[in-house]
Amino acid sequence: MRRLRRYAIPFVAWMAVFIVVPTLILLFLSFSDYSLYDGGPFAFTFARFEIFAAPLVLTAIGNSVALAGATTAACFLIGYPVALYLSHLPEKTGKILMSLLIVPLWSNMLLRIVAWEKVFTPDSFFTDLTGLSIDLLGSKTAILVGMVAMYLPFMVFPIYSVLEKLDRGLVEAARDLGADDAQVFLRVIFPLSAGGVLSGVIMTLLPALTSFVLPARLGLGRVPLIGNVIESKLMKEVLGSSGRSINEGALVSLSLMVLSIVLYILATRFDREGETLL
Amino acid sequence: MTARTRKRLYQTVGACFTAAAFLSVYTPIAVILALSVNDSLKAYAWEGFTLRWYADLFATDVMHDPIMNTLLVAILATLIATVLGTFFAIGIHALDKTRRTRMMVLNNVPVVNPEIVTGISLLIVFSLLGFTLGFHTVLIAHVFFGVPYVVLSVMPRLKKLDPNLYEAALDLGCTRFSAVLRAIVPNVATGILAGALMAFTMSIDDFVITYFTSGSEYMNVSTWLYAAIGRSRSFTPAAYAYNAIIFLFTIAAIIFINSRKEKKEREVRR
Amino acid sequence: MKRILLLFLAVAAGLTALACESKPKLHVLNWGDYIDRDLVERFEDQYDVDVIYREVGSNEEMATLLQSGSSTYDIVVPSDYMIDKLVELELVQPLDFDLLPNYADLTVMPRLAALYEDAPWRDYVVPYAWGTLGILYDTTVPGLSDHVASAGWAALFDPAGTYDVGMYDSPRDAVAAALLYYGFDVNSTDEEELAMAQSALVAADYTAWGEDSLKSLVIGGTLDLALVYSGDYFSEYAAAVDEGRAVTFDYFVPDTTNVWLDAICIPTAAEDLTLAYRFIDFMLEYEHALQNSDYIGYAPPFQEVFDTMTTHPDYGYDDDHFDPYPLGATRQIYAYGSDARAEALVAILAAAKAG
Repeated sequence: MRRLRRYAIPFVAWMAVFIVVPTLILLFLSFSDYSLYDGGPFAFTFARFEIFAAPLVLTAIGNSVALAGATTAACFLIGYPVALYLSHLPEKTGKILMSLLIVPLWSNMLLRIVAWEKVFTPDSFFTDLTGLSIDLLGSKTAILVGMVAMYLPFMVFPIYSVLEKLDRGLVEAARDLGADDAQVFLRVIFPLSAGGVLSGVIMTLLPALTSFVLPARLGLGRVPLIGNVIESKLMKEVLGSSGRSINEGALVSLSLMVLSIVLYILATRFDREGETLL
Repeated sequence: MTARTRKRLYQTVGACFTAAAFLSVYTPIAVILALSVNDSLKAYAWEGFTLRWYADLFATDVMHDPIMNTLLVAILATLIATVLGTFFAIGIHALDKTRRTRMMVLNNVPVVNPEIVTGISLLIVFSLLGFTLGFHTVLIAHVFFGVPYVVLSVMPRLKKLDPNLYEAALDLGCTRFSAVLRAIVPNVATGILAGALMAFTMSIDDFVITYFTSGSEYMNVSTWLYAAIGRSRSFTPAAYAYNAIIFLFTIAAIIFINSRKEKKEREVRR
Repeated sequence: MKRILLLFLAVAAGLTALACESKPKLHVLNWGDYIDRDLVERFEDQYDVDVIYREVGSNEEMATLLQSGSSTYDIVVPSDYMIDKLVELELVQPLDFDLLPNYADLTVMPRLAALYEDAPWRDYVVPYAWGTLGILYDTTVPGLSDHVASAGWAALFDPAGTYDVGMYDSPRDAVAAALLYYGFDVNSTDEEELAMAQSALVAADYTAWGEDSLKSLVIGGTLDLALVYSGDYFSEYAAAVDEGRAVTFDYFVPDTTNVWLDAICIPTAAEDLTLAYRFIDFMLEYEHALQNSDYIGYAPPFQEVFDTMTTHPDYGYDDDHFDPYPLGATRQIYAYGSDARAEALVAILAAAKAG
């Protein structure tokens, strides 16, 4: 068995090239005024951190935290009961329903966003079909609903995977010891599924925090998120800011990376090898 | 309340939440299906039923390249990522516990990292290596984010495996490589398949990472759509038709797989 | 497993074979929806080459792609102010007009030519299309036509918020609209004027910030009016006519506005110069220029093509808005200005969007 270790060597090399090296470069760009395209002298500086004081970035952070937080909370509040319900169904039915919940992920994300645009426009194509006239385009509610619909399967799936493998004997044992329903849930089921919940939170919170197409379209560009800031810094503002916008974009990206790794390490306290991420 | 009524209450509540979940996830799908048969380019209103967008999809070559690119990259990336990921998982599994945990943390960085950060990181690596952006950089990028999913789904299967299996195969005269292929791989096949499916799912719908790593020669369906949406002449509702076909195909595949399973199970029982 | 590996190898081998069989390639970087693909195919057939065409959504994206050098391009079609900057950065090269025999047969419209004859970039470009910045509005909203016609630019800057207004999510265009509203020059560098523009944009509290999406939002009824390019209006107008839908929107151009010019340039890093010149000359052939302008629906920069499109019964572009620079109007073209100004524009937009 030990001889198989050598298969891990190319893995380390592969990950080094694609993760460690770019992270170091992001770090380098974040703390310098070195220009990625023009070169130039390197000077160590904290000046890039000023971006976190810019009003638009502050608004974006506020919006992101609020919307991604609300999305995650909503996904959890809807997703947990769904996962619980599916795990109690006969195994086959549960699995089929679970896969049916994942199938929409194969549909193109941009088209799903366009579809929500139609839904949230009053007196539109959607109104002609259903008789419903919903005027939500441009509101935070629209973004929230769009995001919940987009990320819900990512919350349900890891929780379902954990619950489905849960040893029913433990529940029976708790009942035999006199626990009521609430106690069984709070003391037995929920703690045992915490790893799945954390994976779900990671898989929902981070994409929601960094999405940029969905808020731009469903929020009519009025609700900037961190993802919009990064896209703008790296794709739109490059000229005319002496290339520094790339450094600022790098810093924001790096901060998100740190956040995601911190969250992930939190999750590993429940599940050391992160297997429930799937 | 008796235990039975309570149970029924829980079930009703659970069913309601599940219905709500399905409603939210399937609303856009239903709208896309309706858009694919709406006789209007801009779809400001329902203009009547048509199948012409489906005909367009096969007759004109507007979307031909993006679709072929998407499928080709998804298939190739899945194949490569599955092979690499399986061997990586076997390698990581053979490490001692501390190292294994460390490797898994490294493995999961691309999974938890926001896509936009992964996209930028890859863009930086490619420009450092002096690669011209295009098909091959997108393929590498898709393999890159596919591998961790394969590792993640193969790992639990490996743990359930009898550690002596590999040694036994060697004792029986297998070479090291064939021992891996014959003793380990078949026993973790379900994990490999699940990982492959995951990698394929991630690849076929990827927008953000492709957006950052594709150059002038390459567009997949998502990057093509991002450029075309809102432009009346390059956008075509054939995109909805394409999406509808993918969706119906997936549903059909799920039904097919499940009915086969059922059949097998019935045969076993007999 | 072995079979899968074999299959994989076979596919990989097939792909390499495909990649090796290659004709000379011409890499074109252009806006979406901005060329008649039919012409591109004809060019490919005529010279037995492959045209690799990449579409972008903004001048900034175009510049980023040229600057990063991760792909090479032989042809780009940026706008006025960006050409200005690209010339300064030496990312595009001066053109050798002797290699473009068809160019001599066409006359750049005199009013357009006058707009850029003193620009430092005039020897770097072959004009491609031009148009105005104006206001697209919903004609089904009672009283809106009169309001837009009488208020002009002020219609976009109404803090009272009677109407749902959309603003272009582009620093240069949004600030230009605000400067025009106060009667200042679109290239103003005066700090006080820019500060006024910023307060106007902040106070207006827009219903939507968008790019390509604005026109659909006006027509779909979400917005009442929005700042758009003339081309946004023309493409929607053509789509409505094609589909037999009622045209429920119109385009208003105030007397003083910005006029933009998109022009063909050759990047300094271009790999196949001969082919690049052939392509430009191909597009300059009268018949081709006419067909292309008719396809994209924007005003052509050449008098001959313009005359045919506006007078020939087969075309009938006699729309009031088709001429970007009618007699008696005032038109201003963007200059890049300094990096500091470009940064200030980004900051103004950021402040306006932060609310």
